[in-house]
Amino acid sequence: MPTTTTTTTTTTTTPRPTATTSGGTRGRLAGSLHRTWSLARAELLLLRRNKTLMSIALLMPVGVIGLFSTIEGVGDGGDAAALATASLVGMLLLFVVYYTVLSTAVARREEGVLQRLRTGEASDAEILTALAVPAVAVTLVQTVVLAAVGSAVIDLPLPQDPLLCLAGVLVGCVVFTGLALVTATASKTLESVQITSLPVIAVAVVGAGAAVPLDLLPAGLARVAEYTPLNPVLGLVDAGWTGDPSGADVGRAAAVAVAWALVGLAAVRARFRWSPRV
Amino acid sequence: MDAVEVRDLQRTYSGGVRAVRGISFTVGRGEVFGLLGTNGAGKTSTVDVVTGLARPSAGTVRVLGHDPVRDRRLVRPRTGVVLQSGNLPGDLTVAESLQMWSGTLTRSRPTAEVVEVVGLQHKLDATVKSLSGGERRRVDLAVALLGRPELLVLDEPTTGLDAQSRRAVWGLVRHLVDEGTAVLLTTHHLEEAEELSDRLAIMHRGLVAAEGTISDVVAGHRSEIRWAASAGRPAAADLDPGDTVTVDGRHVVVRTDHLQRSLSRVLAWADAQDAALPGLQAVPASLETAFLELAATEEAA
Repeated sequence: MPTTTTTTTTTTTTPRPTATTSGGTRGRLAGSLHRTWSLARAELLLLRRNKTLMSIALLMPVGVIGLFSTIEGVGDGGDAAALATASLVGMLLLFVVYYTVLSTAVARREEGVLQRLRTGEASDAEILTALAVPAVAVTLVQTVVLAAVGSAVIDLPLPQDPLLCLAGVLVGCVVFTGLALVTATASKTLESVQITSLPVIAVAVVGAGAAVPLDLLPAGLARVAEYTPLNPVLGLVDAGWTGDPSGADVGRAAAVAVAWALVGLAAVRARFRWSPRV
Repeated sequence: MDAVEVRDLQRTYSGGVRAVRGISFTVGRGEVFGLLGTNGAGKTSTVDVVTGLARPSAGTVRVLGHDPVRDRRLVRPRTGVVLQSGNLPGDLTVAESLQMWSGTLTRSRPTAEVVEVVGLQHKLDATVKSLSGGERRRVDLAVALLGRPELLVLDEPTTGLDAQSRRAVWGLVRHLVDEGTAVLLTTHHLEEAEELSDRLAIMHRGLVAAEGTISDVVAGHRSEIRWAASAGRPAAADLDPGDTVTVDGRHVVVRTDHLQRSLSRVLAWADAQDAALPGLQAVPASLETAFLELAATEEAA
Protein backbone atom coordinates (compact mmCIF):
# COMPACT_ATOMS: atom_id res chain seq x y z
CA MET A 1 0.00 0.00 0.00
CA PRO A 2 1.16 3.54 -0.55
CA THR A 3 1.80 4.70 2.97
CA THR A 4 1.49 8.17 4.40
CA THR A 5 2.71 9.14 7.80
CA THR A 6 0.06 11.81 8.54
CA THR A 7 -2.31 10.42 11.13
CA THR A 8 -5.46 12.38 11.92
CA THR A 9 -7.11 10.00 14.35
CA THR A 10 -5.71 7.35 16.61
CA THR A 11 -8.01 4.40 17.02
CA THR A 12 -7.18 1.45 19.19
CA THR A 13 -9.19 -1.47 20.33
CA THR A 14 -8.30 -3.74 23.18
CA PRO A 15 -8.92 -7.40 22.40
CA ARG A 16 -11.93 -8.57 24.37
CA PRO A 17 -12.32 -11.96 26.04
CA THR A 18 -14.17 -14.57 24.06
CA ALA A 19 -17.71 -13.75 25.07
CA THR A 20 -19.28 -16.28 22.77
CA THR A 21 -17.24 -19.27 23.73
CA SER A 22 -16.88 -18.85 27.47
CA GLY A 23 -19.18 -17.90 30.24
CA GLY A 24 -22.20 -19.86 29.02
CA THR A 25 -25.54 -18.15 28.48
CA ARG A 26 -24.59 -14.96 30.28
CA GLY A 27 -21.41 -14.66 28.22
CA ARG A 28 -23.32 -15.25 25.00
CA LEU A 29 -25.90 -12.65 25.97
CA ALA A 30 -23.20 -10.12 26.85
CA GLY A 31 -21.46 -10.82 23.54
CA SER A 32 -24.73 -10.46 21.66
CA LEU A 33 -25.56 -7.17 23.38
CA HIS A 34 -22.05 -5.87 22.68
CA ARG A 35 -22.28 -6.70 18.97
CA THR A 36 -25.77 -5.25 18.69
CA TRP A 37 -24.76 -2.07 20.48
CA SER A 38 -21.69 -1.67 18.30
CA LEU A 39 -23.81 -1.82 15.14
CA ALA A 40 -26.61 0.27 16.67
CA ARG A 41 -24.17 2.99 17.69
CA ALA A 42 -23.09 3.25 14.05
CA GLU A 43 -26.75 3.47 13.00
CA LEU A 44 -27.32 6.25 15.55
CA LEU A 45 -24.34 8.11 14.10
CA LEU A 46 -25.83 7.77 10.65
CA LEU A 47 -29.18 9.03 11.95
CA ARG A 48 -27.47 12.04 13.51
CA ARG A 49 -25.92 12.87 10.12
CA ASN A 50 -29.26 12.62 8.33
CA LYS A 51 -30.43 16.23 8.68
CA THR A 52 -33.93 15.58 7.30
CA LEU A 53 -34.66 12.77 9.71
CA MET A 54 -33.19 14.66 12.64
CA SER A 55 -35.28 17.73 11.83
CA ILE A 56 -38.44 15.64 11.75
CA ALA A 57 -37.48 13.93 15.00
CA LEU A 58 -36.91 17.26 16.73
CA LEU A 59 -39.78 19.26 15.23
CA MET A 60 -42.46 16.60 15.42
CA PRO A 61 -42.99 16.87 19.20
CA VAL A 62 -43.34 20.66 18.90
CA GLY A 63 -45.87 20.33 16.09
CA VAL A 64 -47.86 17.67 17.89
CA ILE A 65 -48.03 19.70 21.11
CA GLY A 66 -49.18 22.68 19.04
CA LEU A 67 -51.85 20.52 17.39
CA PHE A 68 -53.02 19.12 20.72
CA SER A 69 -53.36 22.61 22.17
CA THR A 70 -56.09 23.34 19.60
CA ILE A 71 -58.19 20.31 20.60
CA GLU A 72 -60.94 21.36 22.97
CA GLY A 73 -60.97 19.47 26.25
CA VAL A 74 -57.64 17.75 25.74
CA GLY A 75 -56.51 18.85 29.20
CA ASP A 76 -59.58 17.42 30.90
CA GLY A 77 -58.71 13.81 30.24
CA GLY A 78 -61.43 11.68 28.68
CA ASP A 79 -61.98 11.08 24.95
CA ALA A 80 -60.08 14.09 23.60
CA ALA A 81 -56.95 13.22 25.58
CA ALA A 82 -57.25 9.56 24.65
CA LEU A 83 -57.61 10.50 20.97
CA ALA A 84 -54.61 12.81 21.17
CA THR A 85 -52.31 10.27 22.78
CA ALA A 86 -53.47 7.47 20.49
CA SER A 87 -52.86 9.68 17.44
CA LEU A 88 -49.42 10.52 18.69
CA VAL A 89 -48.33 6.96 19.37
CA GLY A 90 -49.92 5.75 16.13
CA MET A 91 -48.02 8.37 14.13
CA LEU A 92 -44.75 7.50 15.80
CA LEU A 93 -45.15 3.78 15.20
CA LEU A 94 -46.17 4.20 11.56
CA PHE A 95 -43.94 7.02 10.41
CA VAL A 96 -40.93 6.80 12.70
CA VAL A 97 -40.66 3.05 13.35
CA TYR A 98 -42.31 1.44 10.33
CA TYR A 99 -41.31 3.83 7.57
CA THR A 100 -37.82 4.58 8.86
CA VAL A 101 -36.91 0.93 9.45
CA LEU A 102 -38.37 0.02 6.05
CA SER A 103 -36.45 2.67 4.13
CA THR A 104 -33.25 2.07 6.09
CA ALA A 105 -33.41 -1.70 5.48
CA VAL A 106 -33.93 -1.26 1.75
CA ALA A 107 -31.20 1.37 1.48
CA ARG A 108 -28.67 -0.74 3.40
CA ARG A 109 -29.56 -3.83 1.39
CA GLU A 110 -29.22 -2.10 -1.98
CA GLU A 111 -25.88 -0.54 -0.92
CA GLY A 112 -24.60 -4.05 -0.12
CA VAL A 113 -24.16 -3.14 3.55
CA LEU A 114 -26.38 -5.90 4.93
CA GLN A 115 -24.53 -8.52 2.90
CA ARG A 116 -21.20 -7.18 4.17
CA LEU A 117 -22.35 -7.19 7.78
CA ARG A 118 -23.49 -10.80 7.37
CA THR A 119 -19.91 -11.89 6.69
CA GLY A 120 -18.97 -10.87 10.23
CA GLU A 121 -19.69 -12.33 13.64
CA ALA A 122 -22.98 -10.52 14.23
CA SER A 123 -26.01 -12.76 13.84
CA ASP A 124 -28.90 -11.91 11.53
CA ALA A 125 -31.05 -10.96 14.52
CA GLU A 126 -28.34 -8.68 15.90
CA ILE A 127 -27.90 -6.91 12.56
CA LEU A 128 -31.63 -6.29 12.14
CA THR A 129 -32.12 -5.26 15.77
CA ALA A 130 -29.33 -2.72 15.43
CA LEU A 131 -30.97 -1.40 12.26
CA ALA A 132 -34.17 -0.67 14.21
CA VAL A 133 -32.57 0.82 17.32
CA PRO A 134 -32.47 4.48 16.19
CA ALA A 135 -36.14 4.51 15.15
CA VAL A 136 -37.24 2.76 18.32
CA ALA A 137 -35.09 5.08 20.46
CA VAL A 138 -36.55 8.17 18.78
CA THR A 139 -40.06 6.81 19.30
CA LEU A 140 -39.51 6.11 22.99
CA VAL A 141 -37.85 9.47 23.61
CA GLN A 142 -40.57 11.34 21.72
CA THR A 143 -43.29 9.54 23.66
CA VAL A 144 -41.68 10.46 26.98
CA VAL A 145 -40.97 14.05 25.90
CA LEU A 146 -44.52 14.52 24.63
CA ALA A 147 -46.03 13.13 27.80
CA ALA A 148 -43.87 15.43 29.94
CA VAL A 149 -44.13 18.55 27.79
CA GLY A 150 -47.81 17.92 27.03
CA SER A 151 -48.53 17.67 30.72
CA ALA A 152 -46.59 20.85 31.54
CA VAL A 153 -47.80 23.01 28.64
CA ILE A 154 -51.36 21.91 27.82
CA ASP A 155 -52.30 19.86 30.89
CA LEU A 156 -52.33 16.60 28.92
CA PRO A 157 -52.94 13.92 31.55
CA LEU A 158 -49.89 11.81 32.41
CA PRO A 159 -50.12 8.03 31.90
CA GLN A 160 -51.88 6.40 34.85
CA ASP A 161 -50.14 3.08 34.30
CA PRO A 162 -46.78 3.98 32.72
CA LEU A 163 -45.58 0.37 32.60
CA LEU A 164 -48.58 -0.78 30.59
CA CYS A 165 -48.16 2.25 28.37
CA LEU A 166 -44.48 1.49 27.83
CA ALA A 167 -45.26 -2.18 27.16
CA GLY A 168 -47.77 -1.09 24.52
CA VAL A 169 -45.27 1.18 22.80
CA LEU A 170 -42.54 -1.48 22.94
CA VAL A 171 -44.69 -4.27 21.53
CA GLY A 172 -45.82 -1.78 18.88
CA CYS A 173 -42.17 -1.17 17.99
CA VAL A 174 -41.61 -4.91 17.56
CA VAL A 175 -44.80 -5.32 15.49
CA PHE A 176 -43.96 -2.47 13.13
CA THR A 177 -40.27 -3.34 12.90
CA GLY A 178 -41.31 -6.85 11.80
CA LEU A 179 -43.78 -5.46 9.28
CA ALA A 180 -41.16 -3.01 7.99
CA LEU A 181 -38.65 -5.82 7.37
CA VAL A 182 -41.29 -7.95 5.65
CA THR A 183 -42.22 -4.99 3.46
CA ALA A 184 -38.52 -4.42 2.71
CA THR A 185 -38.31 -7.91 1.25
CA ALA A 186 -41.11 -6.97 -1.16
CA SER A 187 -39.53 -3.60 -2.05
CA LYS A 188 -37.17 -3.64 -5.01
CA THR A 189 -35.78 -0.14 -4.61
CA LEU A 190 -35.77 2.72 -2.14
CA GLU A 191 -38.16 4.61 -4.42
CA SER A 192 -40.66 1.73 -4.45
CA VAL A 193 -40.96 1.95 -0.65
CA GLN A 194 -43.44 4.80 -1.10
CA ILE A 195 -45.80 2.35 -2.79
CA THR A 196 -45.07 -0.89 -0.94
CA SER A 197 -45.62 0.79 2.43
CA LEU A 198 -49.15 1.94 1.55
CA PRO A 199 -51.07 -1.31 2.27
CA VAL A 200 -49.64 -1.63 5.80
CA ILE A 201 -50.16 2.07 6.56
CA ALA A 202 -53.73 2.02 5.15
CA VAL A 203 -54.76 -1.14 7.02
CA ALA A 204 -53.18 0.13 10.24
CA VAL A 205 -54.80 3.57 10.01
CA VAL A 206 -58.27 2.29 9.06
CA GLY A 207 -58.08 -0.59 11.55
CA ALA A 208 -57.19 1.78 14.38
CA GLY A 209 -60.19 3.96 13.59
CA ALA A 210 -58.04 6.93 12.63
CA ALA A 211 -59.63 7.29 9.18
CA VAL A 212 -63.23 6.35 10.03
CA PRO A 213 -64.43 5.93 13.62
CA LEU A 214 -64.88 2.21 14.23
CA ASP A 215 -68.37 2.91 15.64
CA LEU A 216 -69.45 3.88 12.13
CA LEU A 217 -68.24 0.64 10.55
CA PRO A 218 -70.51 -2.39 10.16
CA ALA A 219 -70.17 -4.70 13.16
CA GLY A 220 -68.31 -7.36 11.14
CA LEU A 221 -65.73 -4.90 9.84
CA ALA A 222 -65.31 -3.33 13.24
CA ARG A 223 -64.62 -6.78 14.62
CA VAL A 224 -62.00 -7.42 11.92
CA ALA A 225 -60.40 -4.05 12.70
CA GLU A 226 -59.63 -5.27 16.20
CA TYR A 227 -57.20 -7.74 14.66
CA THR A 228 -55.27 -5.26 12.52
CA PRO A 229 -51.74 -4.44 13.75
CA LEU A 230 -52.15 -0.93 15.17
CA ASN A 231 -55.52 -1.40 16.88
CA PRO A 232 -54.42 -3.69 19.73
CA VAL A 233 -51.22 -1.69 20.28
CA LEU A 234 -53.17 1.52 20.73
CA GLY A 235 -55.61 -0.38 22.95
CA LEU A 236 -52.73 -1.21 25.29
CA VAL A 237 -51.36 2.34 25.21
CA ASP A 238 -54.81 3.80 25.82
CA ALA A 239 -55.43 1.45 28.75
CA GLY A 240 -52.08 2.41 30.23
CA TRP A 241 -52.56 6.13 29.65
CA THR A 242 -56.08 6.36 31.05
CA GLY A 243 -55.55 3.71 33.72
CA ASP A 244 -58.86 2.21 32.63
CA PRO A 245 -58.32 -1.39 31.59
CA SER A 246 -62.05 -1.72 31.01
CA GLY A 247 -61.67 0.71 28.10
CA ALA A 248 -59.99 -2.05 26.17
CA ASP A 249 -59.80 -5.74 26.57
CA VAL A 250 -56.14 -5.65 27.61
CA GLY A 251 -55.67 -9.40 27.48
CA ARG A 252 -57.11 -9.68 23.98
CA ALA A 253 -55.18 -6.65 22.76
CA ALA A 254 -51.95 -8.02 24.20
CA ALA A 255 -52.53 -11.43 22.61
CA VAL A 256 -53.28 -9.95 19.18
CA ALA A 257 -50.31 -7.58 19.34
CA VAL A 258 -47.93 -10.36 20.40
CA ALA A 259 -49.32 -12.59 17.64
CA TRP A 260 -48.56 -9.85 15.07
CA ALA A 261 -45.05 -9.51 16.49
CA LEU A 262 -44.41 -13.27 16.31
CA VAL A 263 -45.83 -13.63 12.79
CA GLY A 264 -43.72 -10.69 11.60
CA LEU A 265 -40.52 -12.03 13.15
CA ALA A 266 -41.16 -15.52 11.76
CA ALA A 267 -41.71 -14.09 8.29
CA VAL A 268 -38.50 -12.07 8.53
CA ARG A 269 -36.55 -15.13 9.67
CA ALA A 270 -37.87 -17.18 6.77
CA ARG A 271 -37.99 -14.69 3.92
CA PHE A 272 -35.86 -11.60 4.57
CA ARG A 273 -33.77 -10.64 1.58
CA TRP A 274 -30.17 -9.72 2.43
CA SER A 275 -28.50 -9.25 -0.94
CA PRO A 276 -29.03 -6.37 -3.36
CA ARG A 277 -31.36 -6.92 -6.31
CA VAL A 278 -28.98 -6.63 -9.27
CA MET B 1 -7.68 -30.91 8.51
CA ASP B 2 -7.95 -28.59 5.54
CA ALA B 3 -9.22 -25.05 6.04
CA VAL B 4 -11.83 -25.55 3.32
CA GLU B 5 -13.24 -28.78 1.92
CA VAL B 6 -15.72 -28.58 -0.94
CA ARG B 7 -17.22 -31.82 -2.22
CA ASP B 8 -19.53 -32.14 -5.24
CA LEU B 9 -20.89 -28.64 -4.64
CA GLN B 10 -23.86 -27.60 -6.71
CA ARG B 11 -25.75 -24.34 -6.59
CA THR B 12 -28.94 -23.84 -8.52
CA TYR B 13 -30.84 -20.55 -8.40
CA SER B 14 -34.61 -20.25 -8.43
CA GLY B 15 -35.53 -20.36 -12.10
CA GLY B 16 -33.28 -23.36 -12.63
CA VAL B 17 -30.01 -21.58 -13.45
CA ARG B 18 -27.20 -23.94 -12.42
CA ALA B 19 -24.36 -21.62 -11.42
CA VAL B 20 -22.22 -24.40 -9.91
CA ARG B 21 -22.58 -27.91 -11.29
CA GLY B 22 -20.62 -30.21 -9.02
CA ILE B 23 -17.16 -29.01 -8.04
CA SER B 24 -14.68 -30.25 -5.45
CA PHE B 25 -11.53 -28.71 -4.05
CA THR B 26 -9.68 -28.18 -0.80
CA VAL B 27 -7.72 -25.28 0.65
CA GLY B 28 -4.94 -26.25 3.04
CA ARG B 29 -3.77 -24.19 5.99
CA GLY B 30 -1.10 -21.71 5.03
CA GLU B 31 -1.99 -22.10 1.39
CA VAL B 32 -3.39 -19.73 -1.23
CA PHE B 33 -5.94 -21.47 -3.42
CA GLY B 34 -6.93 -19.48 -6.50
CA LEU B 35 -10.33 -19.85 -8.11
CA LEU B 36 -10.09 -18.56 -11.64
CA GLY B 37 -12.73 -18.21 -14.26
CA THR B 38 -14.44 -16.02 -16.77
CA ASN B 39 -17.37 -13.83 -15.71
CA GLY B 40 -20.32 -16.08 -14.86
CA ALA B 41 -18.11 -19.13 -14.30
CA GLY B 42 -19.57 -19.67 -10.82
CA LYS B 43 -16.76 -18.26 -8.66
CA THR B 44 -18.87 -15.86 -6.59
CA SER B 45 -21.64 -18.44 -6.22
CA THR B 46 -19.02 -20.78 -4.78
CA VAL B 47 -17.69 -18.09 -2.45
CA ASP B 48 -21.21 -17.34 -1.20
CA VAL B 49 -21.53 -20.97 -0.06
CA VAL B 50 -18.06 -21.12 1.48
CA THR B 51 -18.73 -17.94 3.46
CA GLY B 52 -22.09 -19.26 4.64
CA LEU B 53 -24.09 -16.56 2.85
CA ALA B 54 -25.92 -19.24 0.84
CA ARG B 55 -26.71 -22.91 1.25
CA PRO B 56 -25.51 -25.44 -1.32
CA SER B 57 -28.20 -27.03 -3.49
CA ALA B 58 -26.21 -30.27 -3.25
CA GLY B 59 -22.84 -31.41 -1.97
CA THR B 60 -21.01 -30.51 1.21
CA VAL B 61 -18.81 -27.64 2.33
CA ARG B 62 -16.71 -27.66 5.52
CA VAL B 63 -14.87 -24.57 6.67
CA LEU B 64 -12.30 -25.11 9.45
CA GLY B 65 -14.10 -28.39 10.09
CA HIS B 66 -17.59 -26.91 10.38
CA ASP B 67 -20.68 -26.34 8.28
CA PRO B 68 -20.46 -22.60 7.47
CA VAL B 69 -24.24 -22.07 7.66
CA ARG B 70 -25.25 -24.30 10.57
CA ASP B 71 -22.12 -23.56 12.62
CA ARG B 72 -21.89 -19.90 11.69
CA ARG B 73 -21.18 -18.90 15.30
CA LEU B 74 -18.10 -21.13 15.33
CA VAL B 75 -16.83 -20.32 11.85
CA ARG B 76 -17.20 -16.53 11.63
CA PRO B 77 -14.79 -15.60 14.43
CA ARG B 78 -12.08 -17.46 12.51
CA THR B 79 -12.69 -16.15 9.00
CA GLY B 80 -12.23 -12.84 7.23
CA VAL B 81 -14.07 -12.02 4.04
CA VAL B 82 -13.74 -9.46 1.26
CA LEU B 83 -16.80 -9.59 -0.94
CA GLN B 84 -16.96 -8.43 -4.54
CA SER B 85 -20.17 -6.47 -3.93
CA GLY B 86 -20.32 -5.84 -0.17
CA ASN B 87 -20.03 -2.34 1.22
CA LEU B 88 -19.78 -0.45 4.46
CA PRO B 89 -22.17 2.45 5.21
CA GLY B 90 -21.03 5.37 3.05
CA ASP B 91 -21.68 8.08 5.63
CA LEU B 92 -19.45 6.54 8.29
CA THR B 93 -15.80 7.54 8.40
CA VAL B 94 -13.09 4.93 8.00
CA ALA B 95 -12.33 5.09 11.73
CA GLU B 96 -16.01 4.72 12.65
CA SER B 97 -16.43 1.79 10.26
CA LEU B 98 -13.49 -0.04 11.77
CA GLN B 99 -14.66 0.70 15.31
CA MET B 100 -18.12 -0.59 14.43
CA TRP B 101 -16.72 -3.81 13.01
CA SER B 102 -14.21 -4.25 15.79
CA GLY B 103 -17.03 -4.04 18.33
CA THR B 104 -18.68 -7.09 16.78
CA LEU B 105 -15.58 -9.28 16.97
CA THR B 106 -14.57 -11.79 19.60
CA ARG B 107 -10.83 -11.20 19.21
CA SER B 108 -10.17 -7.95 17.43
CA ARG B 109 -6.78 -6.62 16.51
CA PRO B 110 -6.26 -2.97 17.43
CA THR B 111 -7.77 -1.00 14.55
CA ALA B 112 -4.64 1.16 14.35
CA GLU B 113 -2.67 -1.98 13.49
CA VAL B 114 -4.76 -2.91 10.45
CA VAL B 115 -5.00 0.72 9.35
CA GLU B 116 -1.24 0.78 9.16
CA VAL B 117 -1.11 -2.54 7.34
CA VAL B 118 -3.43 -1.30 4.58
CA GLY B 119 -1.97 2.21 4.52
CA LEU B 120 -5.07 4.21 5.34
CA GLN B 121 -3.68 6.32 8.20
CA HIS B 122 -4.33 9.52 6.29
CA LYS B 123 -7.95 8.62 5.53
CA LEU B 124 -9.30 7.78 8.98
CA ASP B 125 -11.59 10.81 9.14
CA ALA B 126 -12.80 10.52 5.54
CA THR B 127 -16.26 9.09 4.93
CA VAL B 128 -16.30 5.78 3.11
CA LYS B 129 -18.34 7.27 0.27
CA SER B 130 -15.66 9.89 -0.38
CA LEU B 131 -12.94 7.26 -0.93
CA SER B 132 -11.72 6.08 -4.30
CA GLY B 133 -12.52 2.53 -5.38
CA GLY B 134 -9.06 1.36 -4.41
CA GLU B 135 -9.24 3.00 -0.99
CA ARG B 136 -12.62 1.38 -0.32
CA ARG B 137 -11.08 -1.95 -1.19
CA ARG B 138 -8.39 -1.31 1.37
CA VAL B 139 -11.01 -0.54 4.03
CA ASP B 140 -12.67 -3.83 3.10
CA LEU B 141 -9.37 -5.61 3.55
CA ALA B 142 -8.78 -3.92 6.88
CA VAL B 143 -12.19 -5.10 8.07
CA ALA B 144 -11.40 -8.65 6.94
CA LEU B 145 -8.11 -8.60 8.84
CA LEU B 146 -9.49 -7.18 12.10
CA GLY B 147 -10.57 -10.55 13.47
CA ARG B 148 -7.18 -12.31 13.10
CA PRO B 149 -8.62 -14.77 10.58
CA GLU B 150 -7.35 -18.31 10.09
CA LEU B 151 -9.09 -18.32 6.72
CA LEU B 152 -9.29 -15.31 4.43
CA VAL B 153 -11.80 -15.39 1.57
CA LEU B 154 -10.97 -12.76 -1.02
CA ASP B 155 -13.48 -12.33 -3.84
CA GLU B 156 -11.79 -10.21 -6.53
CA PRO B 157 -9.78 -8.30 -3.88
CA THR B 158 -7.81 -6.05 -6.22
CA THR B 159 -10.55 -5.00 -8.60
CA GLY B 160 -10.27 -1.24 -9.05
CA LEU B 161 -6.81 -0.99 -7.50
CA ASP B 162 -3.89 0.66 -9.26
CA ALA B 163 -0.79 -1.41 -9.97
CA GLN B 164 1.06 -0.18 -6.89
CA SER B 165 -1.84 -0.92 -4.53
CA ARG B 166 -2.39 -4.29 -6.15
CA ARG B 167 1.19 -5.30 -5.49
CA ALA B 168 0.87 -4.06 -1.92
CA VAL B 169 -2.17 -6.31 -1.43
CA TRP B 170 -0.23 -9.22 -2.85
CA GLY B 171 2.56 -8.55 -0.39
CA LEU B 172 0.05 -8.42 2.43
CA VAL B 173 -1.54 -11.72 1.40
CA ARG B 174 1.87 -13.39 1.22
CA HIS B 175 2.69 -12.06 4.68
CA LEU B 176 -0.55 -13.49 6.10
CA VAL B 177 0.09 -16.84 4.44
CA ASP B 178 3.56 -16.94 5.95
CA GLU B 179 1.86 -16.58 9.33
CA GLY B 180 -0.30 -19.63 8.54
CA THR B 181 -3.47 -18.04 7.19
CA ALA B 182 -5.29 -20.01 4.50
CA VAL B 183 -6.55 -17.93 1.58
CA LEU B 184 -9.30 -18.67 -0.91
CA LEU B 185 -8.80 -16.16 -3.70
CA THR B 186 -11.11 -15.60 -6.64
CA THR B 187 -9.83 -13.44 -9.42
CA HIS B 188 -10.00 -12.99 -13.14
CA HIS B 189 -6.54 -11.43 -13.15
CA LEU B 190 -4.28 -14.26 -14.32
CA GLU B 191 -1.19 -12.36 -13.22
CA GLU B 192 -2.62 -12.19 -9.70
CA ALA B 193 -3.38 -15.89 -9.64
CA GLU B 194 0.13 -16.70 -10.88
CA GLU B 195 1.70 -14.39 -8.33
CA LEU B 196 -0.20 -15.64 -5.30
CA SER B 197 -1.66 -19.10 -5.77
CA ASP B 198 0.02 -22.23 -4.48
CA ARG B 199 -2.69 -24.22 -6.22
CA LEU B 200 -5.62 -23.14 -8.32
CA ALA B 201 -8.72 -24.30 -10.13
CA ILE B 202 -10.02 -22.88 -13.37
CA MET B 203 -13.82 -22.75 -13.42
CA HIS B 204 -15.87 -22.57 -16.56
CA ARG B 205 -19.63 -22.70 -16.71
CA GLY B 206 -20.01 -24.01 -13.19
CA LEU B 207 -17.42 -26.78 -13.47
CA VAL B 208 -13.72 -27.09 -12.65
CA ALA B 209 -11.96 -27.37 -16.00
CA ALA B 210 -8.46 -27.78 -14.52
CA GLU B 211 -6.96 -27.95 -11.05
CA GLY B 212 -3.53 -28.25 -9.45
CA THR B 213 -0.35 -26.24 -9.10
CA ILE B 214 0.36 -23.75 -11.85
CA SER B 215 2.85 -26.24 -13.35
CA ASP B 216 0.16 -28.95 -13.28
CA VAL B 217 -2.36 -26.72 -15.02
CA VAL B 218 0.11 -25.42 -17.58
CA ALA B 219 1.51 -28.90 -18.30
CA GLY B 220 -0.05 -30.32 -21.42
CA HIS B 221 -0.58 -26.87 -22.89
CA ARG B 222 1.78 -25.91 -25.67
CA SER B 223 4.14 -23.03 -26.14
CA GLU B 224 3.72 -20.78 -29.15
CA ILE B 225 5.98 -19.11 -31.71
CA ARG B 226 4.26 -16.49 -33.82
CA TRP B 227 5.13 -13.90 -36.47
CA ALA B 228 3.39 -11.88 -39.15
CA ALA B 229 1.76 -14.03 -41.84
CA SER B 230 3.20 -11.81 -44.56
CA ALA B 231 6.59 -13.48 -43.98
CA GLY B 232 5.24 -16.86 -45.07
CA ARG B 233 5.05 -20.16 -43.22
CA PRO B 234 7.39 -23.17 -43.01
CA ALA B 235 6.43 -26.63 -44.20
CA ALA B 236 5.91 -29.34 -41.58
CA ALA B 237 9.22 -30.91 -42.60
CA ASP B 238 11.07 -27.73 -41.60
CA LEU B 239 9.88 -28.04 -37.99
CA ASP B 240 10.23 -30.34 -35.05
CA PRO B 241 8.13 -33.50 -35.30
CA GLY B 242 4.81 -32.96 -33.50
CA ASP B 243 4.74 -29.19 -33.98
CA THR B 244 1.69 -27.71 -35.69
CA VAL B 245 1.55 -24.64 -37.91
CA THR B 246 -1.59 -22.60 -38.41
CA VAL B 247 -2.40 -19.15 -39.70
CA ASP B 248 -4.36 -17.36 -37.04
CA GLY B 249 -5.68 -14.14 -38.57
CA ARG B 250 -2.61 -12.12 -39.53
CA HIS B 251 -0.15 -14.38 -37.71
CA VAL B 252 1.56 -17.65 -38.35
CA VAL B 253 1.40 -19.70 -35.14
CA VAL B 254 3.62 -22.69 -34.40
CA ARG B 255 2.50 -24.71 -31.36
CA THR B 256 5.12 -26.89 -29.73
CA ASP B 257 6.11 -28.86 -26.66
CA HIS B 258 9.79 -27.94 -27.11
CA LEU B 259 10.02 -24.18 -27.41
CA GLN B 260 13.79 -23.75 -27.65
CA ARG B 261 14.31 -26.52 -30.21
CA SER B 262 11.39 -25.38 -32.36
CA LEU B 263 12.54 -21.76 -32.23
CA SER B 264 15.94 -22.85 -33.56
CA ARG B 265 14.21 -24.72 -36.40
CA VAL B 266 12.06 -21.71 -37.26
CA LEU B 267 15.09 -19.38 -37.29
CA ALA B 268 17.03 -21.87 -39.45
CA TRP B 269 14.12 -21.99 -41.89
CA ALA B 270 13.93 -18.18 -41.99
CA ASP B 271 17.73 -17.93 -42.64
CA ALA B 272 17.44 -20.47 -45.44
CA GLN B 273 14.62 -18.43 -46.98
CA ASP B 274 16.48 -15.21 -46.27
CA ALA B 275 13.20 -14.06 -44.70
CA ALA B 276 12.65 -11.57 -41.89
CA LEU B 277 9.99 -12.55 -39.35
CA PRO B 278 8.20 -9.33 -38.33
CA GLY B 279 6.69 -9.40 -34.83
CA LEU B 280 8.43 -12.63 -33.90
CA GLN B 281 7.41 -13.83 -30.42
CA ALA B 282 8.21 -16.98 -28.49
CA VAL B 283 5.54 -17.46 -25.80
CA PRO B 284 6.12 -20.23 -23.27
CA ALA B 285 3.09 -22.13 -22.04
CA SER B 286 1.58 -20.04 -19.26
CA LEU B 287 -1.49 -19.83 -17.14
CA GLU B 288 -2.92 -17.39 -19.65
CA THR B 289 -2.46 -19.72 -22.61
CA ALA B 290 -3.79 -22.64 -20.57
CA PHE B 291 -6.78 -20.58 -19.42
CA LEU B 292 -7.65 -19.36 -22.89
CA GLU B 293 -7.20 -22.81 -24.35
CA LEU B 294 -9.42 -24.42 -21.70
CA ALA B 295 -12.09 -21.78 -22.15
CA ALA B 296 -12.01 -22.22 -25.91
CA THR B 297 -12.15 -26.02 -25.62
CA GLU B 298 -15.10 -25.91 -23.23
CA GLU B 299 -16.83 -23.36 -25.43
CA ALA B 300 -16.43 -25.59 -28.46
CA ALA B 301 -17.68 -28.61 -26.49
